[in-house]
Amino acid sequence: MFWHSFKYAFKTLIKNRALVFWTLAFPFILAILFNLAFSRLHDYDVFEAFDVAVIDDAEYKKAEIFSEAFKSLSEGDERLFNTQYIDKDEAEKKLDADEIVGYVYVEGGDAKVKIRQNGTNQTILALAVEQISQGVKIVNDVAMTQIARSAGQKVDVEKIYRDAVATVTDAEPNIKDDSRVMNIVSIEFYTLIAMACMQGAMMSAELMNRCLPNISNRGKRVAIAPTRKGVIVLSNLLAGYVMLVFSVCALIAFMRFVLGVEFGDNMGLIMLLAAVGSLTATMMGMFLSIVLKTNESAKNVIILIVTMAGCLFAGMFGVTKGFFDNVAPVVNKISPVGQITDGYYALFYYDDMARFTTDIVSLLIVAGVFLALSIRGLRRQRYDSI
Amino acid sequence: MKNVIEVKHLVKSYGSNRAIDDLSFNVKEGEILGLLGPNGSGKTTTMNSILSLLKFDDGEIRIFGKEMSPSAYDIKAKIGVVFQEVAVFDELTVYGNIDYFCGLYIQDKETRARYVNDALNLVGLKENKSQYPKQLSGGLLRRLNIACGIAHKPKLIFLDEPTVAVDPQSRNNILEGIKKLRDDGATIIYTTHYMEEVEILCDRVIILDHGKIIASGTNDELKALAKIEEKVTIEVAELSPNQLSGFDDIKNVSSVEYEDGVLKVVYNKGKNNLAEMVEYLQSHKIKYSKIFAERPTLNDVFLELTGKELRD
Amino acid sequence: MTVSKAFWKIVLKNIGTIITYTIILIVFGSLNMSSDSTTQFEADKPSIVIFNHDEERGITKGFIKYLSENAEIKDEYEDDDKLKDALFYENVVAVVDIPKDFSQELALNKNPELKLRSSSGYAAEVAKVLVRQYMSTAKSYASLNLSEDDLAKKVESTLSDSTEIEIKSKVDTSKYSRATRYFSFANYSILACVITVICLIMSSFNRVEIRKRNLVGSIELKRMNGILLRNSCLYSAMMWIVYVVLGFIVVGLNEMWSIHGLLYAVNSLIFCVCATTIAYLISSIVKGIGAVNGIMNVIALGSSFLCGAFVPAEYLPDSVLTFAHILPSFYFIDTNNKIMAIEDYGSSSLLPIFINMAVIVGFCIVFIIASNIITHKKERLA
Repeated sequence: MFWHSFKYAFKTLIKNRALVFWTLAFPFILAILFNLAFSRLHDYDVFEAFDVAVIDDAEYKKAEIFSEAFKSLSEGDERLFNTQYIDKDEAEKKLDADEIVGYVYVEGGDAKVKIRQNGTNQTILALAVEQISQGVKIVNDVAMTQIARSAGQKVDVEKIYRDAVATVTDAEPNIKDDSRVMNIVSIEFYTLIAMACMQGAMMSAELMNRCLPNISNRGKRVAIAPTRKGVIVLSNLLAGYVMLVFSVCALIAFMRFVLGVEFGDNMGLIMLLAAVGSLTATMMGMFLSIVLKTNESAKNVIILIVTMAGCLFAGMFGVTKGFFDNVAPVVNKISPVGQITDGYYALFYYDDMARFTTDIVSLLIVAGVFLALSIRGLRRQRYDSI
Repeated sequence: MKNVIEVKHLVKSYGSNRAIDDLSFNVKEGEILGLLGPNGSGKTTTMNSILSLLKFDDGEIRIFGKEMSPSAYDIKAKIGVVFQEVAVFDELTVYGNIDYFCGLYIQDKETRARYVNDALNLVGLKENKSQYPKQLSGGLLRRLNIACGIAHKPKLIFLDEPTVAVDPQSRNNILEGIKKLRDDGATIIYTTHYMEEVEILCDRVIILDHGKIIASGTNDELKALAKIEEKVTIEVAELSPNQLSGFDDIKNVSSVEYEDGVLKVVYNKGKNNLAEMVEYLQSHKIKYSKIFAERPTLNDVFLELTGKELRD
Repeated sequence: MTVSKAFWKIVLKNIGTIITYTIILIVFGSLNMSSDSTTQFEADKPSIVIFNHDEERGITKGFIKYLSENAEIKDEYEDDDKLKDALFYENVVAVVDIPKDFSQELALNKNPELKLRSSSGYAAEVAKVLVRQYMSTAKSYASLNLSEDDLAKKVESTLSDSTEIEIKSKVDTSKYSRATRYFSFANYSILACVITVICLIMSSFNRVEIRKRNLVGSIELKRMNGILLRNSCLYSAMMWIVYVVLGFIVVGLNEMWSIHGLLYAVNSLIFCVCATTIAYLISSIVKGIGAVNGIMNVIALGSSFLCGAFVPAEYLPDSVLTFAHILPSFYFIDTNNKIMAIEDYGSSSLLPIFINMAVIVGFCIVFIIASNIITHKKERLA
C-alpha cells in the first residue's frame, strides 16, 4: 500500500510540468544567471589592462626613475596599462573621445594625472602614479641620506642610486595574509540552494492537497478508501522529499563542479544540510496546506511569498544578509531559508562546527514544530464542511 | 431482504441553515435507490454524512449492520463512490488513474490488473487506456471518473450525479454500466436531478427537499401520489370557446388547457380516458390531427409536491 | 464593452502581482548603492579593525595614524565570530594585527610580521594597498637605521605627498546614477507586470474565444482582438505612468524635472511598448496560465541579469554583454547609462540614444510580425 502510493505520487510529481519547472529547472536557471552576472564582480585575477597615455615631452624624459617604473607597469602579461606615448593635444583628443582612461604628465618635477571622470580604472591609474612618485621620493631620500652620511668621502652617486632603487624595490614588508577570502557572491548561491529546498514546501502542499478531502476531490477518494490517512500522507511526502533532495543535490553538484561555487570540503555535511533543509521545507508545506483555509492557488501564493521573503532576508537580492542580521536578527534565525543559507556559510567560513550544528538543530526544531502542529490538524477525520 | 444502509434521524446544519433535517431511511441489498431532489436539497450532504466525511449534529448511520466511522476500514473496503466532480490525476493515464485508486483497496497486483481491465470494459474506455485525462472528451472523462470509483468491485456504490453535462452516447453507456453493476450484485445509491434516469434505472426513489424526505417509494407508488392519472394531448384544427368550455364537464377531468391549437386535458381518474375522448371528439364533430395519452412523470409528482421544477 | 470590462476585471484580480513587483522596484531601485561595496567602486573609506599588541610609539603610532586618516577605524568588534561575520559582509574589510615590539624591531631593520585578514572586494583591495604602501615605505627607510621616531616621521612625510589629479568633466555624472539605477531596475518590474497580466488576460480570452467561435462571426472576433489590443496598450501606458511618477518620488524632483528626466521617461515608454509586444508574442506561443508564470520569470530575471539591470553592465563579462545584444532590455539599459553620461544636449551625445531607441522599436516590429505569423498559422491549423 505504502509503496503503491509512493510510486504513483512520484510518477505524478515528475510528470507535473509546473512543479518540475519550479523545483528543478528554475533554480538551475537562476544559478546560471547568477554565475553569468556575478562572475566578474569579485574576480580580480582577470584584471584587464586598460588604455592610458603619457605625455612624452622633455620633462617626462627627465624624470628617469618615474618613467622607468611606469614603463615596467606597461609591459608583460601582467601589465596594468596599455600605454601610448603621445603629445598633449593628441592625449586631450583621445581623452575626450573616451579612447583613454587618462593621461600622465610631469610638471615641475611632479607626476600628475588627468582624467575625464571618476571611475575604477581612473582610481587605479591615480593610485599607481602616486605610488611610483612616493617610491621616487624614497629613492631620493635614501640616496641623499647615504650621500650625506658619507660626507667628505668620494662617492659613486650612480651606485648609491642603484642601491637605493634596489632597496625600494626589494622592500617587501613581512605581511602575513590570514584572509579566508570568500566570495560574498557565494551567499547568493547559498540562498539559491535554500530557495530550491523551499520549493519543497510547494511540492508538499500540492501533495497534501491530494490527501485532504476538504481541498480536493482526489482527497475525498483517499478519505473513503480503507487505508489509514497517515500511510497515504507519509508515502506522498516521502516521494516528494526524495525528489526534492535529489534535485537539490543535483543543483549543489552543478554549482560546485560546473560553476565552481565554494562550499568547503565536507561533501557529507553539505548534503546533510540539504537533506535537513528539504525536510523542514516539506514539513512547512504540509503545515501550511493543513492550516490555511483557502484554495490551492492562494496557498501557493502564500508559500511563494514566505519563500521569497526568506530569500530576501537571507541575502538573495543583493541586500546583504549581514544587513538584515543587524536590523532584525530574529528573522534569519527562524526562517528556514536564513538557517540553510547560514549553515552553508558557516560550513565554509567557520572552522568549528558550533554554528553549523546550531543551524541544523534549529532547522530540525522548526521541522518538528511544523510536524507536531500538522499532526493535530490531520487527526481530525470528519470535516465541518467539505 | 437485508438493509445495507440504515440512516436514523440524521441532522446536519451549516450555521443556522439546516441542510439535513431529521432524515431516516434504509437501503436494501441489491436495489438501486434514487436520491432525487433539486440542487441544494441535501443529496450530496446526505451522501457525505453516510460516508463519514462530514461531521453531523445528530443521528445514527449503520452500514452492513455496523456503525460507520472514519476508521471503519472493513466497511469502507466494500464501498465505492463516484463523486460529482471529476477527481483524477492529469499526470496519469486512464489506466494509471484506475490502477492508483483501485490500489487503495486491492493489494494483490494480479487481481488488481484484472479488476482494472474489467472497469475499463465496463465504462468502454479500453481503447483509451493509455491516453491522459486532458485528451478525453467530457463524457469519456466522466466515465473514467466512474471507473476510478468502482474498479475494486464494491458491494455498495454511491453515484453522485454521474451524468451531469454528458453527451447522450456516454450517458447511455453509463446507465448501462450501472445496471450491470446491480446485476453483478451491488447495491447502488444514485443521486440525480434527472427524472428520466430515475425512471428507467431506480427500483426505489426518495425525493428530498430542504433536507427532508417529501416522498419515497417505487416509481409507481410515487406516481400514485400524484393527483393526476393521465394527460391527454390533442392537436385540433379549430375550437370555439363554446366547444372548449364543454371539456370541463367531462367526467374525471381536473383541468383543461388550450393554446396554439394544442389542447391538454388532465384526468385525475379513469381507465379508458383516451377512448372516451376520441368518442367525445367525434360526437362533437371536433376535427383533430393527433391525439395521445401520457402517464404522469416524476416531474409532475415533484411539481405537485414542492411546487417547483426539478431542474431549477 | 463587456470585453473591456472583463479585461480590467482580470487586471484587478492580478493587482497583488502588480503591487508586489512595484514594491520590489521601489525597494531595490531606491537603495543607496554607495553603501553597497559590491557594486560601488568609488567606495567610502575602507573600514579597518586594528588589534595593537605593541606600544603606541614610533612606526606603530604612525601606522595607526596613517590608517585612521585614510580609512575608518572600527573598534566595536571584540568577539571574533562577530568580526568574522563583519569581514564576510564587508562591514569590515580588513583586520590588522600589530605584534609586540613591532616598531622597535622594524627600526632595527628586522622583519617583524604583520598579520592581515581581509575580505574580498574593492574596499578590501584599497585597505590592502594602504597597509602595503605604508609598510613597504617603512621597510625602505628602515635600511637607513633611523630612530623609531625619525623613521615614522620620514614615512609620514613621504606618504603625505599626493599626486595631483585633474578631472576634466564638468558634469557630475553621479547625479543621475540614481535615476539610471531606478530605471534600469524597472526593466524587471515592467517586464514582470506587463507580461504576467497581459498573458493571463490573453490566455483566458483565448479559452472563451474557442467557445464563442461558433456563436459569433469572425468580424466579432476581430473586433474583440482590437478591444483587447487597445486595452493592453492602455494598461501598459498606465504602468508606465505609475513608474515614472514613482521615479519622481524615488529619484527626486530635481533630477527628473529636466531633459535628462524626459529622456529616461521616453526610453521607458518605448520599453513598455516593447514589453507589451513581448507579452503578445508569448501569448501567441503559450496558452496555459501555469506556463506564463514560468516563462515570465525566465524572461524578466534572465534579461535583468544578463543586460545589467541588477548588476551594472560594466561588471558583466564581455561574453555575456555580447550575447545580451540580442535582447531589447540591453538597449533599454544601455540607453539609461548613456543618458547618465550626457554632458550637453548636442547631437553627438543624443544620437546614440536615439539609435538605441530605434533598435527597441525595431524589436517591437519584429515581435508583432512574429506573433501575427504564429497566430495565423495556428488558426489555419485549427
